[in-house]
Amino acid sequence: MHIHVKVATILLKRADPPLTESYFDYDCPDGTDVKTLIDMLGIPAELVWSITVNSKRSKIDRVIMPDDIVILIPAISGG
Amino acid sequence: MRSLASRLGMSTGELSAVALDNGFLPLRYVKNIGTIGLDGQARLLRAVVVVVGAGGIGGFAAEMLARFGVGRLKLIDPDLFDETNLNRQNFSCCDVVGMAKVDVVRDRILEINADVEVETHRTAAGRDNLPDLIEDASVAIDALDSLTDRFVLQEACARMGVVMVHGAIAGTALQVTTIHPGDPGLTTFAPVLEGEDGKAHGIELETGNPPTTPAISAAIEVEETVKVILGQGTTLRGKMLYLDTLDWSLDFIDLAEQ
Repeated sequence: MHIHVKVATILLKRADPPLTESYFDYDCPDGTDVKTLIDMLGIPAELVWSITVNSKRSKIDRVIMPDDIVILIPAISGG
Repeated sequence: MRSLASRLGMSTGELSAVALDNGFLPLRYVKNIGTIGLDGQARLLRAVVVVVGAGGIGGFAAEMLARFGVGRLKLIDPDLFDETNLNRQNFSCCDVVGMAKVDVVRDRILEINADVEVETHRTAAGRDNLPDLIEDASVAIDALDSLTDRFVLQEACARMGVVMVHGAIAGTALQVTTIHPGDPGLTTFAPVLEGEDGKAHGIELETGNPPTTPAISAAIEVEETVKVILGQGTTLRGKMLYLDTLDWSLDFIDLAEQ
């Protein structure tokens, strides 16, 4: 299935292989959940703090549907 | 103004507020009035805001609050300025390295606006002292530097009925949200990284904090604070603003329970 992904720029270099764009379309098997997507992108799951799917906060085990928009953001805590 | 206030036995801030109540506008607030009005300015002068952390975000926030004319500021921070602060912290200069942040920020604020009463607390904010420090505040501005301390601040604000304006930075990113007592706020997130201090942190442990995001975050937090005090506009309650200046993406994360 075809989905849309946004990865915060801070995480791009942490993907394996590193990502070059923060917005991209992505093809993954039907039934893929967010945790599997993060693993497929090679991003350390412990760095992902906020997951939104179609603008709503989602848990990491949420199953992604075709054309969903998934946004992955890290925890930030500097002051 | 100062001598008149002294003769009348009141602070210059209170004298300015009384002047505004009676339709007289101190010149220093002329450029505020078109936006917040005489009544709004008087309300700011009678407001109490606690700035928890006097470093990157806190230094900029304190200056903006003083220029807005928030009448009473409490500054909480245990630290001294050091050389690693010089890249971003508003009042850090070579000649104040080694001096207490709260003292330096207070002195600068009093140079900017003598209407502001500044109370300093050179101590770490924690469960034991936060309730007393924030009890008379309208808003507590989160300018801390760990998730652990932020959870403690949210807990104290909820207990004392104080609105918390949260802001945080890392690299080219910043986030802000406004948390009212009882709101889930930061508790919907789980802390992820542990720093050398044993506290939970974010990815700023890797990215560091360059000069610009503290000022942007502080500006948004001060906007939120003023809106809360004046009851105007739409705040970031229930949603987290996440701005990434590297690709100029702006997201609003819904903070409702999942």
